[in-house]
Amino acid sequence: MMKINYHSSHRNNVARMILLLSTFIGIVLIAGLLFGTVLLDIHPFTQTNSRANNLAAFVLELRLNREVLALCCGGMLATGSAILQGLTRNPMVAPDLTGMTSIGCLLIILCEILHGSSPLMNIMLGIIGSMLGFLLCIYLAKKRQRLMVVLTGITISFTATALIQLLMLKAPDHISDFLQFLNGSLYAASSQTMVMLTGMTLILMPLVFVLGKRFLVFALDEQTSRSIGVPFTAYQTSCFLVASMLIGSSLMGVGNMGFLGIVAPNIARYLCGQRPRYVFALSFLIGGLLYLLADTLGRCLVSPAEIPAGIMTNMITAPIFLYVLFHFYRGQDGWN
Amino acid sequence: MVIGRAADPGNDPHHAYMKKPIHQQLTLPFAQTIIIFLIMVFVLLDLKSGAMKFQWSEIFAAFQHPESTSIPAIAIMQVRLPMVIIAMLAGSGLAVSGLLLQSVTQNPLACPSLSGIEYATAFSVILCYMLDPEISRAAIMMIALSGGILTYLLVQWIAKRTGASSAGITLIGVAFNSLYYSAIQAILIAFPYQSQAILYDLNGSLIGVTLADIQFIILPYLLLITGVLLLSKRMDLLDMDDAHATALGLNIRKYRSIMLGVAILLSTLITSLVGPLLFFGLAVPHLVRPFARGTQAVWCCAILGALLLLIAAYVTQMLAPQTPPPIGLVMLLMIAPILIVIIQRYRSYDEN
Repeated sequence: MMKINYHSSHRNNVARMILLLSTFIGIVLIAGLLFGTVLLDIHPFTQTNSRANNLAAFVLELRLNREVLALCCGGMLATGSAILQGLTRNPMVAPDLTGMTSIGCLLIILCEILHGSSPLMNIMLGIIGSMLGFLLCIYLAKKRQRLMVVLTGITISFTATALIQLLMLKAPDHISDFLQFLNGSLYAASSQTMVMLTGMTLILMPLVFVLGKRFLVFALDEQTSRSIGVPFTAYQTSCFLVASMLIGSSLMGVGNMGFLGIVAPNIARYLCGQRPRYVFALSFLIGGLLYLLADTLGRCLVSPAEIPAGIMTNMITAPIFLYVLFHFYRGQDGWN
Repeated sequence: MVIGRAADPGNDPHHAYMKKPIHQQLTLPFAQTIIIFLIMVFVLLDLKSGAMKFQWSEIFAAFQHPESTSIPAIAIMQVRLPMVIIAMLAGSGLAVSGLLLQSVTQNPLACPSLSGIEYATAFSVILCYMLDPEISRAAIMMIALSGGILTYLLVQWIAKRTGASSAGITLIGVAFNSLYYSAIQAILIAFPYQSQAILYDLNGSLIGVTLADIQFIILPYLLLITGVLLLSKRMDLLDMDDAHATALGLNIRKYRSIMLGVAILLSTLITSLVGPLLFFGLAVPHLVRPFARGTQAVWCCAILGALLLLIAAYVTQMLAPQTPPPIGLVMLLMIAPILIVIIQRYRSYDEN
């Protein structure tokens, strides 16, 4: 009886948190739609002046486009890193600290420079690049201690970033707008990209929840998990594939700024404990919320100029990361 | 007796055992001579190559008549010579600073860029220019210095309180780096007009440094380097614990804090002119440490660092003579393989 009560109360807690986060997201969404360089109010919709109405509708469409993109990308990045953290049993793994985002961006930009590419192509390249980056990092670190993986990843990531910047110097002028995506700027993102990324989110997130059912086996060793009937290698591979698909497709929105990935899953884990599905759901919401918030703030703070969302996210998440380190991992060897 | 000597192959100069492997034949003075020779070669190459190609005779003429108004003389004396000098100063300064940090903290992964010092300096400099474009160099230097020291102490404090390992400190430093990097980017985007005056690159750049800048830092720089060379005789004692070092007659706390202060001062001094050079201070000492100790290590770090940056400067000039890329990028690509090897080799550092 006690146990059932505990579970139901826990479930209620998580449900309450999801509700709260969704409300926050809703508020930020609406605020983001209204505020910006052009202040909108509800007025134009009630008026019959068709010109003002058209303008408002146009601005709304632009803003909705990037806000949906921000939500999807932030959420996918956070969920992907939550999966990776579980896979590697390392709470300090993040896509940009393992070279995933930078190698993905490198591939995307190479392809864009060599011959122009489509949104679908970009997403595919992002996925392939993030897989390559992670495998390279794991190969070079050779399963040493946890933070050595991160350190190798940082080296790979900075090297790839240096290559990207060298490439950008040689890049023709017409793609300079496109290169904005590196810093996580969403203003140049097309509606085609938005539709595709929303589609990816809708496909991948249910998959994550299906996979999440047995996710706790990664706390066990290989033999034990086999003996309780989980095909370890196949399961591991499929989890890795899904994670890199999530991260790779979020690249077009987030760019090379993945520090969010280390923070969101840690907060989610703090809020709901080691329950994979809840962690994934909360990671998605927290990641989406933070990225949406960063995008809206970056748009409003210095308008008409714009601080890219990735840079804003880094400014927001780096202090949160230090706070997380300080309060959740203080004195524990767990993260070292 | 005779039999004994004959049986010992070590005494027979013609015996095969006496042939030392190649890395032992390369003695330290020999290697140093080669490095200094290469430095001279690359100084000349850096002076010669670039957007405008000069003849050797033009370069020597420029040095004989530095006041002349011919194009080669102006280009060499006012653009390339400062670049070459600052490359040597920056390379040696950051390498020595990295060596000192690694010795003092006994952390093989310590580095001025990964402890948050360099980006903190860059952030302070840019903030100064943003608030007051007319600010004097001395004021900038003071603010940059306090920013660097504060960030370093903050990183160390957080690392201590969270019980971080040496790699953990690096992660905390990276968090600070990304914070400062983003803040700098945001400032550059939000206030483009103020920041246009800043000939300053986030990846480290030697372009735009003038002889006046060099005159400003050369004296403190030389003082610091001389101080390090004089003090470094006892640097090996830093590897011991406090009790042993004290027993050998060294006031270890004082020594440690002096060395730490010098390291932070050096890196701040350099970074406020050329910008952050990621990983440079981490990689160079690891190239030197297996072969040299104490004063020799400091000296070798200085010349090797200078050589590496000179080579990087040459490569940047070769890659794109008209719009040379930031030197930090080329340098990072050059030392990335070294870094991977370092990380693989020092995996066991955290185990004890």
